[in-house]
Amino acid sequence: MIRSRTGGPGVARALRPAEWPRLALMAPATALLIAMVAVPVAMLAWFSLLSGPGVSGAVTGREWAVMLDRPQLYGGLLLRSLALGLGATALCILIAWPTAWALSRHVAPRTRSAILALLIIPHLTSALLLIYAMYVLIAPGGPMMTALAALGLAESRDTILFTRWAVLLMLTYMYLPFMVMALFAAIERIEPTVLDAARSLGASGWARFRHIVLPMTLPGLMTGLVIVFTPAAGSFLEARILGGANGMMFGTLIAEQISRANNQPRAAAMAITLLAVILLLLGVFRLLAMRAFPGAMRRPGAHGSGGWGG
Amino acid sequence: MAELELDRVGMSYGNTRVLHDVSLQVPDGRFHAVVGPSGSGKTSALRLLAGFARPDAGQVRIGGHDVGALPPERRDLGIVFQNYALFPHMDIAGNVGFGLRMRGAGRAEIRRRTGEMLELVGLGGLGARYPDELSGGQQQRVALARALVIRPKALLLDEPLSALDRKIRQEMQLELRRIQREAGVTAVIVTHDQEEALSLGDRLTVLDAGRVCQEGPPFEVYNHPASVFVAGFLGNANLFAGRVRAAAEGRVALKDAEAVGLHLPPGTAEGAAVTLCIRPERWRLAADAEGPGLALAGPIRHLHQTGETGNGAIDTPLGPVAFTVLSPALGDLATGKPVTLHATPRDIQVL
Repeated sequence: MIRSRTGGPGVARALRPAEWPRLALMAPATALLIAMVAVPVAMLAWFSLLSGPGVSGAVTGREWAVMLDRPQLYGGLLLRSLALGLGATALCILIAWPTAWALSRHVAPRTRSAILALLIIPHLTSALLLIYAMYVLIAPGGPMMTALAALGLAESRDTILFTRWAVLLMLTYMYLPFMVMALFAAIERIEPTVLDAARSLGASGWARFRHIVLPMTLPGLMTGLVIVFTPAAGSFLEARILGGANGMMFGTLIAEQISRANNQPRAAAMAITLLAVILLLLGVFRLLAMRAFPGAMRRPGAHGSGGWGG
Repeated sequence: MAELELDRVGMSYGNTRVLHDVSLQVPDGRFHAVVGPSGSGKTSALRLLAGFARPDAGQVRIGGHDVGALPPERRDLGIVFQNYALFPHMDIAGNVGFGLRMRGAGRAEIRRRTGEMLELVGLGGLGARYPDELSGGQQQRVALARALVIRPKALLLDEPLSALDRKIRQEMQLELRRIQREAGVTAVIVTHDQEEALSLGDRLTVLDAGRVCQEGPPFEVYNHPASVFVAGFLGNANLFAGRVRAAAEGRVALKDAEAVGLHLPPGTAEGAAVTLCIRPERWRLAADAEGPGLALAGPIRHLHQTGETGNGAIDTPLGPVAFTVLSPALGDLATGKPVTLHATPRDIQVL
């Protein structure tokens, strides 16, 4: 079905009665999105043009100039944030794929729900608690270091605490369940006979992964990428508590512009930069995925009849 | 192309034995149907041939070689699955060409052979579509093309038509037969649909509870079922329990009737319990009971015409008896009217 969402250019089209239910159903979400996304982003854009500190300065664009003048500081931090975000996402994918596969194919349904619940429950508590739990876990003399020392792999006084590795570890832990969920849902949709068919046609284990499992889970992987990479690259709390001076992230600096320097315009300019870069990267990933597997990224039902019968 | 063989195979899932001493031999280029109710082990037999399962006993042979150690990806068999199992993320050409790609064929060869195969199954020009844009019958053809394009040693079909509606199913049966002949490929079809098994196979194996009940050309099995199970499973059958009264005269006493002149299995003793099997289409409407065989009379219990044929049943002391005759033979018959059904000894199978 093809139907234009709006009238033609410059045409005030009367709404047909049939469209009212659709509009009514969409109204709450639309209102929420306008109030919570469109308005704040517009305000952010406005603030970014002002001169700090505070939000009562003149429109000068000075904060953008300041930021662009110090590419080493801002650019370096931005790159580190993106690298940490990508690193955490990559680790999440590496861990989540086999996990989701095992849960979907090798675990009885009842055990499966229990494991999924266990995976999620810690994440229902405050993020701050999780971060401090990690702090305790990796602190010098803490359980992990003691265990590593007992195995002779490290000194119990050593630690990765206050390094970027601690931040990477935390971000991975923080967002792993989301990736597992996204991939699990995608893997569940692969019918076992599809893999049997590939096998009967001569596809070895690796070929089945490369040609069937990977492309068929790609939409799930893309979803996972959005819900893991976006918050991970933009995080600040993890870095502030576990990262120390070496683990500082772009988000940390944004937070400090607001909480310490009272420079909302600078924070706004940085936030917009971060948002734009993240969206750009997500777009690039999507494009690459569509290039590699055009059929996999097709919107289902875009061409098909769908609906009743067929 | 090659011959396929199961040689006295046994197989278990956990503690459940699903196949007992099953043998199957499909000569090169032949179409063999394996039919049985669900749980009869027919799909297990197919999985053994395909290599997705291993037998606990016996041998699986393709072209005379024991393939027990070969995984499915190295058996060179084309398999058509019940749900088609098409790759949803590949277009039709991608689906059909997949096996060739796995064999390292060149781009040009893949395109050529994929195109030829799509022509053979009647889907020329649809290569750029995706599976969800095709009808069930078309998806079925894609699955068939995908399995055949690799020039497999044999084609295995697992209930391939069961998801189609009746009219398309009948069309596809003919198509399947044509394509199998044109490709000259050995084929095994597993089905619970007796009609499909009868119309498709050069030979037929009836499985029940993991054992072979009967094996032979389809209509021989249909006309001469070896057991009550086969008689009842393949088509409809009126079954009457009886006792042999005089073996030489072929005289069998039923509950309230007597059949004479029957062809009893050799060595049947007097007093032996037998079952008479009469297919509904074997009855003739008779004015009176005349000649040898069996005649049963009673009022018509129900009658419905399907166009060419009329199906009905009469009430007799032996219970309701089903019959099928061509429509014109029904004349002015109606529910409640008394009628006599007669079957000659040729029409009666003694089990």
